[in-house]
Amino acid sequence: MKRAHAAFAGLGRLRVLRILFLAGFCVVLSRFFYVQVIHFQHYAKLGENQSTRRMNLFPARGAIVDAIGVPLAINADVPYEAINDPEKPVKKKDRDAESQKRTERFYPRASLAGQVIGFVGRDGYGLAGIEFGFDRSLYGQVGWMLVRQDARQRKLFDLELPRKEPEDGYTLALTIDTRIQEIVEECLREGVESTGAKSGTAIVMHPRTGAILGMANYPFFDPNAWISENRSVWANSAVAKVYEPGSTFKLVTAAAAFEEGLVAEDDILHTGDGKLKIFDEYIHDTHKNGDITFRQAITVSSNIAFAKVASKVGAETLFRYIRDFGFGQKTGIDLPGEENGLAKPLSRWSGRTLVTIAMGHEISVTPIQLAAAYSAIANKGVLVAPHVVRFLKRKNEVVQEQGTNPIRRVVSEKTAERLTACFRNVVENKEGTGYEARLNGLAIAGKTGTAEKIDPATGLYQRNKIVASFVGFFPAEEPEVLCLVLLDEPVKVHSGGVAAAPIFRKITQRMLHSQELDYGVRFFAKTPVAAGAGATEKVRAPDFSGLCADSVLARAERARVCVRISGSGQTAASQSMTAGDEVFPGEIIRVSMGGAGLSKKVTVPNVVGLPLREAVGRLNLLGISIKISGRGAVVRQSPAAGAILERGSACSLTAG
Amino acid sequence: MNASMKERVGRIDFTTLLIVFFLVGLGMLMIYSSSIEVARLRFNQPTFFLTKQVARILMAFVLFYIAMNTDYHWIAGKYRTLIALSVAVLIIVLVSSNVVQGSKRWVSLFGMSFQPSDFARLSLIICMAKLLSLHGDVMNESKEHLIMILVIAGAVCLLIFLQPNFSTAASVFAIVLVMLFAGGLKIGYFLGLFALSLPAGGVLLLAAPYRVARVKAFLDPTNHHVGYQAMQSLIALGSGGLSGVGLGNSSQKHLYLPEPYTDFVFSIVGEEFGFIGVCVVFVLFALLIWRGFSIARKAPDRLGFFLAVGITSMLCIYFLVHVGVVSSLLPTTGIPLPFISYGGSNLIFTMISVGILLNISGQSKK
Repeated sequence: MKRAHAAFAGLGRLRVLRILFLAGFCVVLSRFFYVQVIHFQHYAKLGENQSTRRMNLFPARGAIVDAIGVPLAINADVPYEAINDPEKPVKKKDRDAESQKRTERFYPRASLAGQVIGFVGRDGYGLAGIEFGFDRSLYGQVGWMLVRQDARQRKLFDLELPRKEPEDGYTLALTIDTRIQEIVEECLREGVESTGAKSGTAIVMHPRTGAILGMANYPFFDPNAWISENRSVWANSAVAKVYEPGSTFKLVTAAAAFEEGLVAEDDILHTGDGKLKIFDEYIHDTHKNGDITFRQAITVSSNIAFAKVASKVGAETLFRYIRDFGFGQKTGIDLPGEENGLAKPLSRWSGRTLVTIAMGHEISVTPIQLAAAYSAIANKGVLVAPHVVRFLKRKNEVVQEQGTNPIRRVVSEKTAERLTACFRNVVENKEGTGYEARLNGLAIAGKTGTAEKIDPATGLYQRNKIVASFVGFFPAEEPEVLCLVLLDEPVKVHSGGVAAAPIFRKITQRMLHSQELDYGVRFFAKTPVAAGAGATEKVRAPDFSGLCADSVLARAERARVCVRISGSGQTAASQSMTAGDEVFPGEIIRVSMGGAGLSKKVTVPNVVGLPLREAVGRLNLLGISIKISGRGAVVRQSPAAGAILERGSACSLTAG
Repeated sequence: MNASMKERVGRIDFTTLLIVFFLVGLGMLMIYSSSIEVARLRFNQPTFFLTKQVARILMAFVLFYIAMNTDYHWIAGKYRTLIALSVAVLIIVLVSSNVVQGSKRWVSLFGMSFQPSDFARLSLIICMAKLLSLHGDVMNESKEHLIMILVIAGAVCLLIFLQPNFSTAASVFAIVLVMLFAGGLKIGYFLGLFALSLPAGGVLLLAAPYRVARVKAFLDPTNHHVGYQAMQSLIALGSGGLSGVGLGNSSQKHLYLPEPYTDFVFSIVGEEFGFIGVCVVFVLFALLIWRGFSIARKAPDRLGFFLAVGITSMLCIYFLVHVGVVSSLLPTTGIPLPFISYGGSNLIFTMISVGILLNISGQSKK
C-alpha cells in the first residue's frame, strides 16, 4: 500500500498551497491593519458614541429662608419606594442608581407667605412667586457625567469617565420675618373673617430701606398643594391687585399742596353742608363739617375740602406728583406679576378728573404702590423701591445682596414732617377716621381709605361694595414700620376706619408685644406719650395674674410696659415684677403662663386620609421622622393618632 | 504500527503541539473575557460558559491524546464506516433535531450539544485522503474514481447546506478542492469544477432571503440593521486600535456583539489586544499551518500526506473565514475560530484532527 513518495506531484502543488494560504493571510492581515491602525478612529468614535451616554446631574434647588434663617422652601427627598407604583413597570431610566430617590419641593411652613414664595412645577422649575422670579439663581447649574452603557442602555460603572458636577442653587434669604409674617397673617385672617370681606391684603415694610417684613394675602395659599388650590389664590395681590384707593390717595393731593406752598395746615376750607356739585354731580362728605382747617380736613377725610385743594393745585402739578410718588408704574419690587396700576395721562383727563383723582378715584393703584408712597413720607420724602429678597448665598458666601434702592425725592423733608403730623392727627384725634388704629404709648401716623368699587356691568360706583384700607407707620418721629391693610368688600362694616384700622392696630400691638421682636422695648422707651408724661416717668407694673395672653397684652399696653410671655399654660401664673412696683415705660416684664413648660413629648396627629406629602409635612413640623411605603393617600399610620411620642422618634406611614 | 511508541513521541512535532496548547489556553481566556457579561446577565454566573468549556477542553484533550497515539492508517481504514455514519447523522439531524436559531445544526449526544457537520467534516477529510491515496494516480484518467470522490463530497456538502449552513458547506467544499488540488487533479478539471460550482453556489447562496440580506449588508456595511454584527465587529477592532483596550476591558462584549464568544471571538481579541495581539494570533496560525504542510511533506505515505493537507487546509480555511468575517472581508456568517471559539464538537473534532496530524508527524520520514 505504501508507495514511493519522492516524485509525487502533490509535493509541488503543496508549495503552491503554501503560497496561496500565505497570500490569504497577508490580505486579511492588511485588512486588520487598515481597520485597526489606519482607520481606527472612525470605528472607535462610533463605539464611543454607542457605549457612552451623557447623563444630567441635577443640582439641589436652593432653599428659601426668611430674614432670620427660618426655612420656608426646602427640598425633601422622597424615597424611591414611595414613588414607585408597583403596578407600573419600572421605566428604563429609573434603573439607574441616581434615580433611586426623587426630590420634591417642600414648604415646611405651609401657607405662610405662600403667594410670595410661589411654587415649583413638577419639572423642577419655579412657576410663581420668588420660586419663579429667582428661578435661575435657585435652580443652580445642571452638571453631567458620561457613563458607559451596554447595548441595552444599562449603566456600567466606570470612574475614569469625565464628569461635571452640578452647582447647587443659591440659598435665598427674604427680608420677610416669619415672626412678623405670622402676626400679619393671623390678624389679617381674623379681620377678613370678622368683617366678612371677600379677601384681604396686608403689607408690613421697613420704610427707610424698602424691605418687606411681612406680606400676606387672605385667603392663604399653600404651595405644597398648589395643584389643588384654587387658582384665584395663586396671585400675590399685594403686588398684583389693581384697585381704586379712595381716601388713602389724598396723600398725593396734600403732598402737592404743601410742597408747592398752595395750602397750609391752618388754611380754612369751606365744606358747607357736605355736598358739592361739580359738573352736574355731587360729591359728599360723611358729615357736615362747615369751615375747617386743612389739617382737620385730612383728619376727617373731607372730600369737599380736597376737591377745593385740588383745584388750587391744578391738574399738571397733581399729575406730576402722582407720577413722582410712583403711581402708574411698577415699584420695581423683586416679585413677579407686579401690575402698573392705572394713572390716566393728562390728555385723557375730563373736567371732573382732577377733583376725583384728588380723592383717590379714577385712578388705580396696587397695594405695594401705596405702601411705597407712604414710605416716602415716613422716609422724609424719599421714595424707595420695596424689596423682598435680602441676599443670595452660595454655601456661606453671599453672592448678591439687595440693599436700599432710593428712587427719587418726592417731597422735601419739611413737607414730609408736616404730612406726618397731619396723618398722626388722623389716628390720635377722636374725630380722626383712623382713631381705631391708635395705640397708647406709640405715635402712629396713618390714613384710612374707603373706596366704592365700580360695578363692571354698569360702570357706576356701588355704595355697598367697597375696598376698605388703612395705611400707617410708626413711631411717627423715626418711623421703623409701615403697615398697609386692605379689605376687599367687607360686608359687616363699611369704612376703612372701622374695617381696616383695627387690623392695623392688632398687627402693631402684636408686633410690639412679641416675645421675639424688640420693637416694644425700643418704641415704648423712646416715645413720650400722653400729655405731660415724660419718658423717664415711672409707671406701675400691672397685675397680670389669672389673665389670658390677650388680656396680658392689653393690660401691658395700657400700663405702657412690655411683656414677654413664656410657658404653655392658659393663664398668667407669675410675673417677673410684682404688681404695683414702679417700672420704666417700656420695661420688660416676664410673664409665665400656668401649666407645664414646653413638652419634649408630642401627640401624634391623625394623618390617615391625607395626601402623603401633606402628612409628611405635618409630622415633620412636630419633629417626628417618617418611614414611608406606598404612594398616594395615607391609609395606615403607626403609631396611631393620639399616641405620645418623644420628639425625633419615627412614625411609619403606609399609603395606597 | 511499525515504530515503537517511544520513537514516535520523539518525532512528534513539538512546535505544533505548543502552538495548539497556547491557542487552547488563549481560547479559555477569551471565552471567559468575552462571555462574562452575557453569562452574568443570562445565568447570573460569570464563569458559566468558561466552566462548560473547560469540561469540553478536558474531554478534547483526552480524545486528542488518543488520536495522537492511534495509527492514522487504522483510522483511515475505517473510512467507509465513518463516512456512512456521518451521512446518517447528517440525515438524522435534518429530519429530527430541534431548530436552533433557524437551523437544524445540532443534535444532543451524551447530554452535550453536538454538531454533526464537525464530525462529517473530519470524516470527509479521512475518506478523501484514503480515496486519493488509493486512486489519486488514476484520477485524471479514470473518471469513475473522480466522480465517486465528487459524489461523496458533494453529498456531505449538500446535507450540510440543507441544515441550512451555507458557510460550513462552502468551507468543507473548499477543503475538498484543496485536497483534489494537492492530489494532482488536472487544472482543466478544476476550471470545469469552478465553472459548475460557482453558478451553483451562487444560486444556492441567493436561495435564502437571509443570506441575500447578509450579502447585501456586506456590500453596504452602513446599512444598520442587517450589517449590525459586522459593524459592531469593526467597532471592536477600531476601538482596540494598535495596542488594544486591555484584557477584560472590551466594551463590545457588553451585548453589542451578540454571543461574542463564538463566531466573533476574534473581534474581542482585536479589541482587547489590538493589532499587535491580532498579529500574534496570525503568526501562530501561520506557523501552525506551515508546520502542517511540513508534516504533509514529510508524511511517510500518501495517506499521511493527504490527511495532513486536508487537516491543515481545514484549519487554515476556518481561520481565514472567521477573521475574514470579523474584519468584514466576508459576509457575516458563523464559522468558529479553531481552538478559541466556544463550542464543544468543533473543539473536539479540531483537536482529534490535530491529534491525527501529530500522529502523522510521529511517523514522518527523517
